[in-house]
Amino acid sequence: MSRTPAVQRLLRTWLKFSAASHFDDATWTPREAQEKKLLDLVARNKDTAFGRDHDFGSIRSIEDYRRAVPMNTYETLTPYIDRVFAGEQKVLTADAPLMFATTSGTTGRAKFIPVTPSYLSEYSHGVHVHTYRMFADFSDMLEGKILVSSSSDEEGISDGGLPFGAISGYLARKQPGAIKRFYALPYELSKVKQVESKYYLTLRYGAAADVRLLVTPNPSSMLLLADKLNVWAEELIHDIRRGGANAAYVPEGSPKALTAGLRADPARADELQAILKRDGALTPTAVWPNLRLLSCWKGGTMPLYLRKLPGVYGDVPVRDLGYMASEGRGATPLVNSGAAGVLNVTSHFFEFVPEEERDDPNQRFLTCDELESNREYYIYFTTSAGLYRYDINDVVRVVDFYRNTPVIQFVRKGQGMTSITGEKLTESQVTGALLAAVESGGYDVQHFTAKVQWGEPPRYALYAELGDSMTTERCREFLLAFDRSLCEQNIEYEAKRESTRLGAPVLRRVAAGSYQALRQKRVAEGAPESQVKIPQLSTDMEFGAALDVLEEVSLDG
Amino acid sequence: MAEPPISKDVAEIEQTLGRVMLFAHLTPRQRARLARFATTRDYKEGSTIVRQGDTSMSLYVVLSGSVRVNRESEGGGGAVEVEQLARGGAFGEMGLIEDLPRAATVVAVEPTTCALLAKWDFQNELRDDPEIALSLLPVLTGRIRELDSLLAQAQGER
Repeated sequence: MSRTPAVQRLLRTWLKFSAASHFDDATWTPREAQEKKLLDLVARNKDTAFGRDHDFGSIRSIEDYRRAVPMNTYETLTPYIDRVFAGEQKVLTADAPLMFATTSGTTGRAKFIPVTPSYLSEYSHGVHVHTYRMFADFSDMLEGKILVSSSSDEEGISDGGLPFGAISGYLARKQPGAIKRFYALPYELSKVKQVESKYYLTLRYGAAADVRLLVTPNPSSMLLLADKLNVWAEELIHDIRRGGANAAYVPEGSPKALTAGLRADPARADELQAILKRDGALTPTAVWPNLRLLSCWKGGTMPLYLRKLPGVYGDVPVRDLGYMASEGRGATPLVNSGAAGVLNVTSHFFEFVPEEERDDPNQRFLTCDELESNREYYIYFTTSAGLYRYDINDVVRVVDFYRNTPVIQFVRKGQGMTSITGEKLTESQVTGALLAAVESGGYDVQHFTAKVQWGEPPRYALYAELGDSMTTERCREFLLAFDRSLCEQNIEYEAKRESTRLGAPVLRRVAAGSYQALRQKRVAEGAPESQVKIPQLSTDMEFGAALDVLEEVSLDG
Repeated sequence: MAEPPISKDVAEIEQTLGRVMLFAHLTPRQRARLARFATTRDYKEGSTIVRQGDTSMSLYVVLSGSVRVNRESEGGGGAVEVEQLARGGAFGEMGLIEDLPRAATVVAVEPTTCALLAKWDFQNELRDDPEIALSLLPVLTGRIRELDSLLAQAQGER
């Protein structure tokens, strides 16, 4: 017997008619949907500074738009964004921003994306389509709780007096009360910066609940949650029995709302105690037997972590969270298989440049109806945040078509490429070689980053957090397997290795917890916790300088 | 929900669906309904249509041309050609029913046109007309028998 069937029905019906049906219909004729989206967006913003500078009033077609507006990067838009940040109105968009979404990406200083009401509507549209499809596939999901990690929307205040932070936190804060009841975590938790506190309180709320859907952008967070669930088993059971939370995990000065929902639940504590006694551990499958779905990023560098999820979460299906960033939502997954989603043709306007034409002065900008299967493209966003023909520096691949709309998958950041001797190594190649090597010998590699190591000859240094089973000999075997796999992934790398212009890679084993400390450092520097991604191929020459290297293993001698 | 735009190839798609094993037991009316939801795409010679391990959203039916179906062997060692499909050949049928990644990579051997039927449209039709599901059962049970037989044969060869 469901607890709130009327509310659930109402929510599903609302999601269907507010978003899902509109999106579904548009997938038959994506070109028309995209042109309509663009022209509406341009018309709304014709009286802004950017609109006047680029003659938005004369734009009647996609071709007009391309003639009037050049491709943009964050840097080319910075003069406009700085004015918005200072509080000036009608610079990029007709509607005033509500906040700024910060995006840390993997490197570099923070970028500030103006979140206007229209942009929020575009962004939420994708969220609603995704949510509707999950509810349609798992009809009893709302009979339990949804555990979603989010980051603070109030990291600071702009010169014009608006907050900046994570858009996920803003959405969590603005949810109506009727919707909030389905969520396991309070909004206030998004503001906790200390990683240990955040994970403890997440589990304190989560372990007390019947969690049906677990959403964390990074699958490594799911593994960490499972690990901590066991590490903190006794403490969690104790806190659930008596109510509240161990004060050591509640940051000083926290609002009461952070812990207000942590009621005493002796019956649940008894259940958990029985599990602990029976199994000798608290595991997600035992604590959340009704868990229906995991939702996280599956593309890019994530497969290293994804392959470990079944060992911890059993056969619970994993659906991609969708190709998204603070700058927009690119695609919405409609099925669990793979890591791709249907292009969000009703959210933003998208253009694509074939990957190989990136540096070509005559590069072709394509609309979504012109894409070909299994080709890689750079993607450009035009959104109601005031990003016009915005180069997000992402490479996506077309993996399928849903009706006439491409199904795309994030492949890598465009900047995720190194080339010491002309090998043009991409992060996706490193990830591919890493996975192949790990699978070839069952090596326990928990975190991994390759970076350039200058010298005579230059080579790649591989920083890795490894399991206890990785003896020095196993490390050498892994290193050899990785080097071979990378040769298979990249023929230029193979040629340079054979000619000894590139030396053999070296493996630098770092102390356990090093990557979590890196994440914590990035969060302390202001990056939203859920957005922190430690790359598997770093172009930062300083990467590794702060890591505690325990051992260096080489293939020489 | 908007009605799909009628493809100019709908008659040809309908006829070709009749040659797809999975739809062999459907009535002409049922095939005609499915054909209305199909879209068509052209592929150049040598282009990869779908890749093993990727998200599977649609069934593909070859309308003209031909394709090569390759599968990566489990222990590594590269791709092995499983079969070639010409007009009336289909791939991704199981993806209509199960939510699993693509089981093989399919490459166009020559300029090829395929009809695509999205999983959701197929499943909506199943909900509207459960008789379709009944028509699929003989095909699916036939496949199970085939697999049983292959398994028994493989065990006998050990």
